[in-house]
This record gives sequence, structure tokens and C-alpha cells, in this order.
Amino acid sequence: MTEVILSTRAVEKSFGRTQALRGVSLELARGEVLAVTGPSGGGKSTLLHCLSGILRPEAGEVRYGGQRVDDLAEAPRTRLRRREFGIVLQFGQLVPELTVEQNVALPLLLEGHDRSAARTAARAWLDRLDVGKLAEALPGELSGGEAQRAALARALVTGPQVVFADEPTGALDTVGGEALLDVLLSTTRERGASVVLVTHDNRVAAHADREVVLVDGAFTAAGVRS
Amino acid sequence: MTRLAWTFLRSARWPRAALLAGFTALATALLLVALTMLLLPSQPAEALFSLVAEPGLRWGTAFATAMLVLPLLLMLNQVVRLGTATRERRLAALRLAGATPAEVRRLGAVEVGFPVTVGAMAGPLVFALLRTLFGGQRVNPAAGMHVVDLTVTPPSDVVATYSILNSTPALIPTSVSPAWWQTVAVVALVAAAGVMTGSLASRHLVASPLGVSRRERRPAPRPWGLLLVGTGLGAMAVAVSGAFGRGQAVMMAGILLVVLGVIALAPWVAFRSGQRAARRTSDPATLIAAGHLVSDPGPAGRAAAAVGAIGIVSGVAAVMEVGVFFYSRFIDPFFVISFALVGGALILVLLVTASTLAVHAAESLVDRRRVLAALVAAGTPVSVLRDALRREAMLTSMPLSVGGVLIGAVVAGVVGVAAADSTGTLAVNLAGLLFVCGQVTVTVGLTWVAIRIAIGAVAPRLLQATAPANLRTE
Repeated sequence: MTEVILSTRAVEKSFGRTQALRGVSLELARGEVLAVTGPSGGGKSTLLHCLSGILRPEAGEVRYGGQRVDDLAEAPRTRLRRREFGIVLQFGQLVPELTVEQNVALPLLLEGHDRSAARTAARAWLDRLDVGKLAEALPGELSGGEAQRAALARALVTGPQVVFADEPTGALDTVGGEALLDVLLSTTRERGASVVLVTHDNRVAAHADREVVLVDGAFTAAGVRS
Repeated sequence: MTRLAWTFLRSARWPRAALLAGFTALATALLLVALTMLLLPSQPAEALFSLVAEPGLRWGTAFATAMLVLPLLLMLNQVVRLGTATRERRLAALRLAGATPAEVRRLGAVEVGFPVTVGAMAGPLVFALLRTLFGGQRVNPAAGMHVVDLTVTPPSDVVATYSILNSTPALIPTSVSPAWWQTVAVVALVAAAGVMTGSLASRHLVASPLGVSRRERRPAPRPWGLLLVGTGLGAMAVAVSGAFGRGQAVMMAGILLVVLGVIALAPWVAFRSGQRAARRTSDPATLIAAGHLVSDPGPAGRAAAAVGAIGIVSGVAAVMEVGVFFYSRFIDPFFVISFALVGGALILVLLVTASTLAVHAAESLVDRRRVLAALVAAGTPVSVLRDALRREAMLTSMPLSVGGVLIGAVVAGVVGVAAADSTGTLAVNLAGLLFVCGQVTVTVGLTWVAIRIAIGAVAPRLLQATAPANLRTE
């Protein structure tokens, strides 16, 4: 039987009078690539934020490795995200003032690694993702695809068990998006990590092992593809 | 276009406009105070503190009062930058809707120019208020004249009378007032300086309908301010040597050049300090702070610039205090009150500067909220970002503060030794040196504390900036 690494049960989340998630239950297996799709405003990003511990749901529970995540205090949730999860957002969101290498080394420095070890690891990941030659560049000097590869290197450098990607190809053209997805999926599969992929693009979702469709904060029965 | 500008003005956040108007009003009032001091006749018909009453000292006091406008202008510069990101988006939208670059720039100028002009026009009212609080009281001119021979220790009754006359807190003349055209000229000057500060701060504002592009590295700032500092020190040396006469005017010009030089150097100091820290550190907070300084040293440098000027004045005052308290047989109350006034002015300027740094930090948080929220989402503790904010202010302010007090103390020490006709005993010299070191430490320490408090006050904004909602912010 496949080990469940991340799960939610009856998760609810509201913003003011808008209910973003209505009792969402979900299981993610180790090594699985799950696509969360659906129309804009359907609650995809909110679900990703709740799964990754960025947001705390108002009802229901989120478990990682059997341990409740949603009732953890801010500091342990932050440490969990840094050590166990990798997060890639639509526009990369690298720190614009730091070089690409410094951006990728940052999570390791936060973990207490020394400067040279962090730099070496960062350089290795950048080389692996074919952006090693841009290590000294600033994020503003990169193309969209290069910035996303750098963001992916930053997400993978700590060896996460789950990678959360929110519209990672949203700002890229078709060819660039495909290339990024290939890198994302090959590196995570190689390491046995799971991926939660939020997208509104069916071509992207087609790369996943499983797809769930979120409409108005709830999964649609017809939208589940295995 | 006028209607559009008015709509923007009404929809703008009022605290920014209020701050712009308030600081401009204060700057106008200070200039009017300085002007009024210069209008006094040589024998004033009112009881005023000697720094203002004595014609020989009056120019220096008026000059120092006018110099207090500099930190206010630096504060104005920061306040103008508040909400830059929102303004950039709004102006880009206007360009997309068909507005020409000139029209867009005019809108930006009106947005800053209106509150600044209102503030400058309110300046005379603030001046009247200050005059009520610190104004002199009219006396019989004949009774106001006292001559004290300071080469001998005066009798105790003379000292007592002298002390009473010199302890009047009155600093602003009430027996004379600027003419209407002089007031109008000062108001116009401050309004123009405010608008110019605003245009300088907004010069990077959008010119493209697609918004501001930040793809290129900005060129590193150059230490051109050293030229001003060098020229200023040269002028001061000339003034001390008495080579060309008009020593007081040359000395004031020298001081002005040194202070402007230090302010001009501040972005370069911020850049170098950030670059040095980024190369060496393993600490994430320092790395984030240093990276921000290196990429955009101008605003951070200008926000902290007055710290350097505070250091210079404090260093000079420390050496002068040693001269008065350690090498004189008679401690003149005039000097005690003068040093207290200088100390008070420095603390006021320090408070304004700390507020400027807080405004800069708040603006920087709003501007970078999406990246900061992404960092926290990826596992960076908020406490690390709080430390980064504090270190960014410290990396700029501490070198300026230490450098300023050292320049001030060394220059004043050299001038003092050159002017002295005798030297004290070893014990007195040692005590004097310890006193200077103590005051230098207190100045740097107070600056450190003020910055910590100012950045601490901005910390709640960090929580807002790192909220997950900002991950979706455009």
C-alpha cells in the first residue's frame, strides 16, 4: 500500500464572507504528483497555502507524516516549510537584491550551514538546472524561464519531501513551460518527493499522476482523474 | 488634467499629505526664526540669550538654526517616496490610457506640490507659535548692557547677575519681524525646495505605459561627497588661519560644505557597507539587509545621512566642552547653557532622523511585500526579516555616526591645539581625552538606541507585509 505523506480532512477556510474552501479532504501519496485544477477563484491557491502550512484552516485538519500541521505554532510551521517542503510560485519571487546564488543559498543559511557549504550546494543545484552560469546575476536580469529554474533550485536545495508549485508555468511560453515542468518532475521523481501542482492549464495537469478539480471551494466528483 | 490631479489628491492617503505639510511648515518656521535673528539691531530691545543677543554670535546661531532645515528636507524626501509602488502603477495606467510623459510628471508634481505649498504657507503660523513659546521679553536697552572681563575671575555678585541674564531661555526675537516680502520669499523658497525634493525623489517614476523596469543594475554611487568635505575642511582651515579676513563667513561656508558632503557621501557609505557585509556574512538577516543596500543605496543612505551630521556636531562639541570644563578657571554659565542647547538640538535632529529611517523602512516593506511574503512562505522566520530591517539601518547609520564623531572631534581637536597658547597637565589632558571618548560613545550609543526604537515601531508593519494575502498582490 502507498504511504500517505500529506492529508487533509474537511478543511474549511474563509476570507471575510467569502468561503474559499468548503470541507476539502485529500490524500497525497509519497512520490505522487497531484494536479489541482479549476477556474479562477475556485480555491486552488488557498488549498495549496493550507496544505503547506502557510495558512491555518478554520476547521478540519492537515497532517504531514501523520502529524497535525494546522495546530502548530507559527515558528514550527515555518521550520517545517523550510525543511520538509519546497515552494515555487508563479513569478519565482526571488529576492531581487540578492544574486541568484545567494537566493538559492538562503534556505541553507537559515538552517545554519556555513557560507561556503551553502554556496557550494546552491551552485550544484543551479548547474543541475542549467542556470549555473547565471549564479552572479540578479533576478531582474533573468528571463522568466531562468528565474523559475532558479526558484526551483531554491525550493529543492534543502531536499524537501513535498514540492508545492503554484502556477509555476503561468508566466512562461509553451516551450519554456514544458521545459520547466520536465525539470521539476524529473528532479522530484528522482528523489521520491511528492508534488502538488496548482494550475489552470490542462496541458500542465496532464503531466500529473492524478488530478482534482476545485470549483467554489469544493472538489467536483467529475473532476477526479487517476 | 487639473480635475484629474485634484481627484488624485483627494484619494491619496492623508497621513502622507499631512506629514509633507507638517514638515514643510516646520522648515519654513525655522528659516523665519533664523531670518528674524539676523534682523535684530546690534543692541536689541529685549532680553534674549547671549547666543542671539550678541552681534558677534548671532550669525552663527542663525546659521545653526537654518541648518536644522536639512534633516527636515531629508525627512521630506522620504515622505515623498511613501506609496511609490502604488503611484507607479497608477501613473503607468494613465500612460496606458493615453497620458503623455509630461502630463504624468505634472500630475506627480501637483501631488507633492500641493501639500508642500500648503505647509510652507502655514509656516508663518508655526513661526508665530514658536515665537510665543521661546520669544524674548522687551526691556530697557540701557539696562541690558553688561560687560564682563573673562580674563580674570569675576566677583561672585557679577557672576550671579551674569548667570541670571544668560539663563533666559528666550531665543527668538519678538522686537523685530521679517517684512511681508521677506516672509513671502521664505515661503516661496521652501515651497520650491519641497517641490524640487519631490521631483528628485520621483524622477524614476514611470515613463513607460508598462510600468517601471528594474532589469538593469544601478550604477554604484561614487564618493563625490569627499570633494565637498575636503573643500569644507580647507575653508575651515583658511578661516582659522585668518588669512583672508571674513573668518566667520568662511567658517560657516566650510561647515555647510562638510555637512552637505557627509549627506552626499551617505549613499556611498551605505553601498560600501552593504557590499562588505554581503561578501563576508553567513547570517541570512545580514545578507538580506546588505543585498538591499547594495541594490538601492540611495534612499537608505539619504534616510540616515543626518546621523553623520549629528556625529560631526557632537564631536566638535565634545572637544569644545573639554576646553571649557577642563582648561578654564571660570566656568561661564553661557557655555553651559549653549552646550545644553546644542545637545537638545542634536537630540531633536536624532529623533527626526530616526523617524526618517522608520518612514524609509515602512516604505521599503510596502514596496517589497510580495517578495517578503514569499520568503516567509518558503520558511524564513519573520524574526529574520525583522533583524534584516534593523541591520539595514545599522549598516548605514553606524559607520556614518562613528565617522562623523571622529571627523568632528579630530578637526576640532587639531584647531583647538593650534589655537591654544598653553597646554594642560598630563592628568588634565588624559581626563579631557576620556571625556571626548565618553561623549563619542554616548552619541553613537544614543543613535543606536534611537534606530532600534524607530525600526521596532515599524515591526507591526512587517507582519502585514508578510501576510499570505500578499502572495497574490500585483
